[in-house]
Amino acid sequence: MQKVSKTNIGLFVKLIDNFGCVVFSPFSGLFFAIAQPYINDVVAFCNNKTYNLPDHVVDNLSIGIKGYDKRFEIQHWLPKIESFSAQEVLPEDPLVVNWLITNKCNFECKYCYASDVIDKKEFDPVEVKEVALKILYHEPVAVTLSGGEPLLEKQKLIDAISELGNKTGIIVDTNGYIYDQEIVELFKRYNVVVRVSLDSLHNKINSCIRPAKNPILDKQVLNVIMSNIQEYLSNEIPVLVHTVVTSLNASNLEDLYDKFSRFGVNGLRLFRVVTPNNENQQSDFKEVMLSKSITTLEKAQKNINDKLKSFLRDIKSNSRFSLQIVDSSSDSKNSVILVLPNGEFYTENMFGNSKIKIGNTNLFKKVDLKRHYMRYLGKLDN
Amino acid sequence: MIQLENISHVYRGLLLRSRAFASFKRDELDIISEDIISQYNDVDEIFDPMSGYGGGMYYFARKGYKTTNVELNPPAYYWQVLINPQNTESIIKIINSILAYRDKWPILHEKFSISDEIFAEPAIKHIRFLYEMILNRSKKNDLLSISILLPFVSRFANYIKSSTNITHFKHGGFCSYVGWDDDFEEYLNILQERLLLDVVNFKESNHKNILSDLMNLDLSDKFKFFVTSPPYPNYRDYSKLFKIENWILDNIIYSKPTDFKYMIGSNNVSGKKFGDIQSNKSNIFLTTLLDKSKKLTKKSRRDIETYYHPYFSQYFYNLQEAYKKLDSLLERNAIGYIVVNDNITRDIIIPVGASICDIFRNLGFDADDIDASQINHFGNIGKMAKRINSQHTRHIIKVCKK
Repeated sequence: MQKVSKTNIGLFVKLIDNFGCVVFSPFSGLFFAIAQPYINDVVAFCNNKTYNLPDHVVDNLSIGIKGYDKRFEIQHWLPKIESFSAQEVLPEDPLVVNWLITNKCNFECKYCYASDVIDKKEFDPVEVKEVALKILYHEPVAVTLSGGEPLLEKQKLIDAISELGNKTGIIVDTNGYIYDQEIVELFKRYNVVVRVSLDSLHNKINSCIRPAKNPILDKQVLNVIMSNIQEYLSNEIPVLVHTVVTSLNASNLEDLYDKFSRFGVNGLRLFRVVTPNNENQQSDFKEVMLSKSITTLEKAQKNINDKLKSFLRDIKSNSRFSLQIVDSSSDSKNSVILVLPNGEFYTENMFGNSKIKIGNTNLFKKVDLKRHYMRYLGKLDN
Repeated sequence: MIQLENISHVYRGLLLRSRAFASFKRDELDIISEDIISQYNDVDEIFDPMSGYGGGMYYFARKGYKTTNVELNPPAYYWQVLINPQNTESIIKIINSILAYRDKWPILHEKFSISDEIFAEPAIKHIRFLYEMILNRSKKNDLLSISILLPFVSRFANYIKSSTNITHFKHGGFCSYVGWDDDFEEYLNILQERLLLDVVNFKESNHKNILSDLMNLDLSDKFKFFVTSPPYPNYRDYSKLFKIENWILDNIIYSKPTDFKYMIGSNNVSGKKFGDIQSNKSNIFLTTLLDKSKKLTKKSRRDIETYYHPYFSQYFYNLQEAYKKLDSLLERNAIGYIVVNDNITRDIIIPVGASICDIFRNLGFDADDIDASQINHFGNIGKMAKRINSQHTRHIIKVCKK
């Protein structure tokens, strides 16, 4: 069995035969791959024992750890790909499992990829502890708790974190609107990483893309979310921001990068928006994609790609602020393993009509394994 | 290492010398300098009536000439004050005094603001405190205090930065105040470093900077030599480039806002008038533009008739009037050099260089190109973008008053 363990310095390490090991840092929210020859020393380093590692390995693993404040370009894949003896042999277990612990949400995002489950489908009640054990059986290096908005179901979230805590890394995906000090104490106890979905630092633009269900709230949404991010940061909880790039915010990527990094946020993950194949969502989607000058969805996607390219030419990820572009895919095979609120395993498929159920034993047969690893570790082929 | 991430990118470019904004390029001034050195031995002072960021002052100070520089746009003028070598010693002293008393800097309790305006209340209050603090450190030298403060004020502004457009940005949004003091220290250190590096290369430190519209300028001195470059007709409102800084000047520093309506080349067309344009070249271009509009779609035709034709008419008229005013400030037998690019609109060359020659000839000057070359303007949208409209002819025109 490929074991995940929490080390003395707090990093989660998963040893994988013929591959090396994968590390999740709850201090930065970053994932790293470590080649076979370095495993023993990485484990020694993570457990405060004597080690012999190149500086850049230590630097990367130390990002976000208190007192370590060097600035350098992040390498997720450590060291270079040539060092991997069995690169083509990918591990059989997931790196990350995304657990949609609730289908309730207080926002109505125009591009919502979980619209097939959000507020629509009733799920049979489930024992959180049982689902947590099912997930832990696969030894993920981290579990993402999302929804819907997970903070809308406080007890489930508390139960889930208490079950998973210290056994695997925990990430909570939230829209950032709800802040609960009791939950924050739990986040601190278990080194939870918070990822906040936010699409613009201009309230009107953000509310246009991610309107609150209660429109009266829209005016204050950005203020509330930023105050909450500030609270998380002052509690030393790492915060990453998730932004879906649409026509409305594609010109402001530099602004997002600049202001989030200045605010002390740990990183920004940009997602290329995917056109929904669900007819009901088309008109909402067009609202955030089309304009007077951008008249078709194809043109809009091309424009977004151009903006991302130009942004990436000028901006680089660094140890004080990580940047990742996450390619979404509408293929039937996908890179994400989802656990729905009823505890069943699925692989993500965009916009509902074809989420694919996967069994526990053949987890990866319907998941694009390579893409799954690329999603968390960066490119495998450079 | 990335430096000055938190300074607006015009100032960042100027401070780190990573980009010359609307200024002379070094090779242009080299050509002019060679001509001056080879032909005249009585050059003492050089006048620039539209001096922008003081690129001419910076160059000619290193060559050992005095300069007088007139500029209408306050933030550009204050930048000149900052790099004027006769101010360097005082500015360094003020910077050192500010840095030495870091523990006395005003405290900004708020961590961020979200606003629909350029500045939120906490920032306005803080900038006032910061200005007072610099003023005290400078022994009430308001000119130098404003010059030191201004490049940093965008640090407190609520606006959305755009990577594709430097003159138009969206008001309002989020501003983080976290770490403003570290950023201020970094800015002061880089400014100091730059001034100290420059000062050793200046051979002449006698330079005047005048904040004024050339049209309203009243000087007792007359000038024998001038080197200048006018704003280009690229539909840009140069005051918008510094909207943030001008807001601070208009609302915190000055008692009365600056009027930019008559800035040459400003894209503000409505409500402005123009008189008789005497340059043949300008008139031929304006007629060609109108003729072309008749072959275009209804919308393009309307655009040209209501915007582009009045815009270019105002441009050439204002330029003509400005050079008439310049003539009144020149000695007999004065010599001048004008650097200018011909832009292209609707595939028609805008004959800026030829029109300037016309204007000066009509004023009784000899006027000719001493250098003309093809240059490519790299677009803002993509650094590698080279469109047909990005190709310009650059002229260096020499004029001699008879």
